[in-house]
Amino acid sequence: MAATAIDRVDTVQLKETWETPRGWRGTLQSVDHKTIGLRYLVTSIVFLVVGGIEALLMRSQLAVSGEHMLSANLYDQMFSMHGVTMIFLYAAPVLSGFSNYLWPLMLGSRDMAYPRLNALSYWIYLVAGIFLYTSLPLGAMPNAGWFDYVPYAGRAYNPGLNIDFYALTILLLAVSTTVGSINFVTTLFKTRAPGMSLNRLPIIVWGTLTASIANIFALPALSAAAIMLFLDRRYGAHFFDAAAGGHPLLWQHLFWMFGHPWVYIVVLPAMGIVSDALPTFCRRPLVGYTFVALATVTTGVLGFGVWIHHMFATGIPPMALAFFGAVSIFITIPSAVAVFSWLATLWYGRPWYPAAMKFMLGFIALFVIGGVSGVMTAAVPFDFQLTDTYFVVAHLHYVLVGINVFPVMAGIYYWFPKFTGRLMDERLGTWNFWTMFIGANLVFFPMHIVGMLGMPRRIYTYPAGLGWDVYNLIETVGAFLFAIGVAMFAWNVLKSRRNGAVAGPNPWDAGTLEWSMSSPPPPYNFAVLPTIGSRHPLWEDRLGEGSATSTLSRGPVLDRGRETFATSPLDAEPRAVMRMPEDSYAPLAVAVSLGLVAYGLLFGLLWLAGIGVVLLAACAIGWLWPDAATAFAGTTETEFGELPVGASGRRSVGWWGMMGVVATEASFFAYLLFSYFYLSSLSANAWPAHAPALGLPIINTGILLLSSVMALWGTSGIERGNEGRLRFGIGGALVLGILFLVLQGVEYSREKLAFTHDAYGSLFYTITGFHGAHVFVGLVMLAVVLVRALRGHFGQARHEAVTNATLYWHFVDVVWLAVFTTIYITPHLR
Amino acid sequence: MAHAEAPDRIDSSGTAAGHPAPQRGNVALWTLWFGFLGAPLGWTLQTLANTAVASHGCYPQLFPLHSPMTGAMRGILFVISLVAIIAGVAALAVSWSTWQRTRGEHQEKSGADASRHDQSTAALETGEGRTRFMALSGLLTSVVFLIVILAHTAAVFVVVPCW
Repeated sequence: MAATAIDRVDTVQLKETWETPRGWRGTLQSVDHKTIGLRYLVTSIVFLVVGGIEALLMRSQLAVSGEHMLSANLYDQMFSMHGVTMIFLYAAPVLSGFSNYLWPLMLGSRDMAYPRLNALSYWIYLVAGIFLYTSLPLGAMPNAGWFDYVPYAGRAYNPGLNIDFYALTILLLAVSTTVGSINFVTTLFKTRAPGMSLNRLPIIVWGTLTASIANIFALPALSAAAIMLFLDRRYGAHFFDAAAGGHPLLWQHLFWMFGHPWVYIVVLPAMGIVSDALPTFCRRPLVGYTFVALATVTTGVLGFGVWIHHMFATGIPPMALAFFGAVSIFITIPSAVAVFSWLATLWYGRPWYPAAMKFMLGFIALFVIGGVSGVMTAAVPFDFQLTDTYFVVAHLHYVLVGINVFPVMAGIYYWFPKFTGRLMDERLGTWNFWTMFIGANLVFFPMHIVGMLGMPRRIYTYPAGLGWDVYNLIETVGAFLFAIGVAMFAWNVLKSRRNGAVAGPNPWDAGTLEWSMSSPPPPYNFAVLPTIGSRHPLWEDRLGEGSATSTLSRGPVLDRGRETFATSPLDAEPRAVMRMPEDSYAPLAVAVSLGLVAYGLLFGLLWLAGIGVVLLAACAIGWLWPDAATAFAGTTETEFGELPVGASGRRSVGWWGMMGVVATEASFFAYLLFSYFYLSSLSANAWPAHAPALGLPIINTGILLLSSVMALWGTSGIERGNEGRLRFGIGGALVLGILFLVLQGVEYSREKLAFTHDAYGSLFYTITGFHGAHVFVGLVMLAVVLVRALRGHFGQARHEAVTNATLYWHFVDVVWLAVFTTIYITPHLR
Repeated sequence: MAHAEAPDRIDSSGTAAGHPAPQRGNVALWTLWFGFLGAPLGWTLQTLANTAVASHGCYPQLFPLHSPMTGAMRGILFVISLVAIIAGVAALAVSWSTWQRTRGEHQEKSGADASRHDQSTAALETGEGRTRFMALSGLLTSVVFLIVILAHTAAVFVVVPCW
């Protein structure tokens, strides 16, 4: 089949196929990545303003000594909400906004791999933000910091709803971020333009990919911690109760196992913004592309091995501290690589300095200052002196404001023309930059000094005569100056959106793919899907790099529905034509259902939580119901040969998504089992007081393993076209799985150990209970597969759902082996 | 360089784009992944295992010790570190080997100045050639993580284990 020239494409039909209807129905249903990206950007910047107002209230209080405008209690809530808002509701979601908007445009696709999941991620994020701020009118905002340390966050010292709001918000956001991350990873590996090989990805894509993979493995630590905290507070568990075998430091370990990777999660995509935009204004490619791509990934990986540097002052033995001090120092290597790469790009390029570029240069300066103070606190003895002082506040704000807010500003000035079709006002942008840059340094630099003078973090007021007054006053002036800068930015956005100069497709003469279509882009992104021959498809004429010439003006149209290519993970070779789902209310309905569950749990209204669960199940069934529009539909002849339509075989998009689920769920259990071993190692008493009986669990282990064998046998049957074997195998696995749950119930009824007895009891029921819930979910999947098998939905060439459901089932069984060994066997070995 | 039964073009009849990885047949895919992941996995093992040993050895239950529970603690930490070093060196060696076999991939397509640059500079600058990009990535990652592994190992010998 010959390629179609772009000027011969029926764009009216493409537009009708991809465009979201106008009006409130379209607003609530849209799954367009561009709409979702802009929603993320706007919502997160609204939260930036809200968090900024909280910061201004705190700075007003601290401007002079002895001020009591805010009570101690209200101040606690302010700094906690400021942290939670900025870290969870602004810093990460704003980067999701850029990536959601830009990825398909940069990668040459028509949408993300899972458009509905993308919408779900946003709606849950919004529900979580609303849920958290419900605490404001109730006067019960979280009040134990964004890190929420126990025992202060425990019920004994914090009996209100404050911390419950925190824990449930975290769980909602974890769901939102996890599904978003799985979507990014699958999109990257499966839906790129032909030729967009791994070595041609823009750096922001590397940044978001690294952050997404880190999310998949790191977020379960926070989820596990939040669940344990909620169970401790509301259901009498003892995870953090030292008197009953728990330990407060377990919270810190779990929190920072998540927390430090999270620091890189909220900066790596922002660094990617600079790596992609700065070369445009230097009129040359980024110096050392491979170095920077690798530096991004390496930083993300090393970020998992530095969590204890947040715990240097907790009494952990010095050898263990030294391991983490060393990594915390050496993690500067990849960061320095990126900095030198940007400087070299400036040096070898012909730079010009619009507002976006000014923000990027400001970012480099702040990044270096924040990085240097980070290396200082990586040294254990130095950190001992400065723990919990304002020096640390200075460091973390240089890092987060410098490496997140400034690149975000640069990114908005840079891509605003793509978002809206209009340029932002450059003169106002220059004022905007200098106000924010001077403001940021005024507010944060003196914090180094007052920190070294001994001013502790989180104090709500301070007495005169300690030498802190002048610095605090300067900081407050800086904070208000910074706020004026943010207001200028908001004014510039609102003004330029309607009255800015018309931008055209590529106003900066940039080299990457997103600048190849009109501004703003049409609903279908690309009239013909491009084929990529280099890293700078729009600069190929002047650079002479790439294995061939990219083809942007002719190619496949794929207009029989919402279609795009599924491609191979490394070289982006076309493997299938994907059918993307239509707009849907389901993501919004699922998010609202989760919100009901959260409110039900918060207020102890189990009937409300129950309604939420029932609605959630109904929405999930509606969502997952086999859809003719996306089902396997034979094959089609394309410019790349004959390709399957609607499904893409064993390594399908669905398979990648399921692997993401398995990875993050496996991590969740790993953190639970870590908690078990950690508390076990600290327990001075016999652990547990009575080891559990082994008879029934051994039988149950055999049953579960046999069910896996049955599922495997059934799957291999359908791979050979044997539908009878599939039905028998899946049916057998289903029956054995149900038997497992029944026997687990029998074991619970016999077990004398109580959930509220001690930490072991809490762990026993939490770990086996969560495993049982996973078994239940697996059984629902197997039941759906069985029903579809009985209705003849599967064949040798189309059994994607079978592969995915059995993959999950095998995962559930493997996890059981780890649970069984830990919970049942190890107590007998002590 | 002989290789690649695979076609050297993205299988398109409608475009002029060559295949991004014509030398992918020269090396087994697992060697590229091992080169890339071997050293980070070794470091992960070293960090998790040694942290557990060093922490528990000096703080076995609710009270800290002045000296480790066992005199063999440094030895245990070193043996674990040695495993990490071996993993890192093996990954480095494999990466070096894959780099040697793929370093010329798309060298001539690495930009207008490609002829003036050697292969490593060209690969670092443009990243052109997916196979050599992955091989070089393995090389760089292995070096960085080996440095971190060695720094960690040095701490085993120079830092006092307990308070």
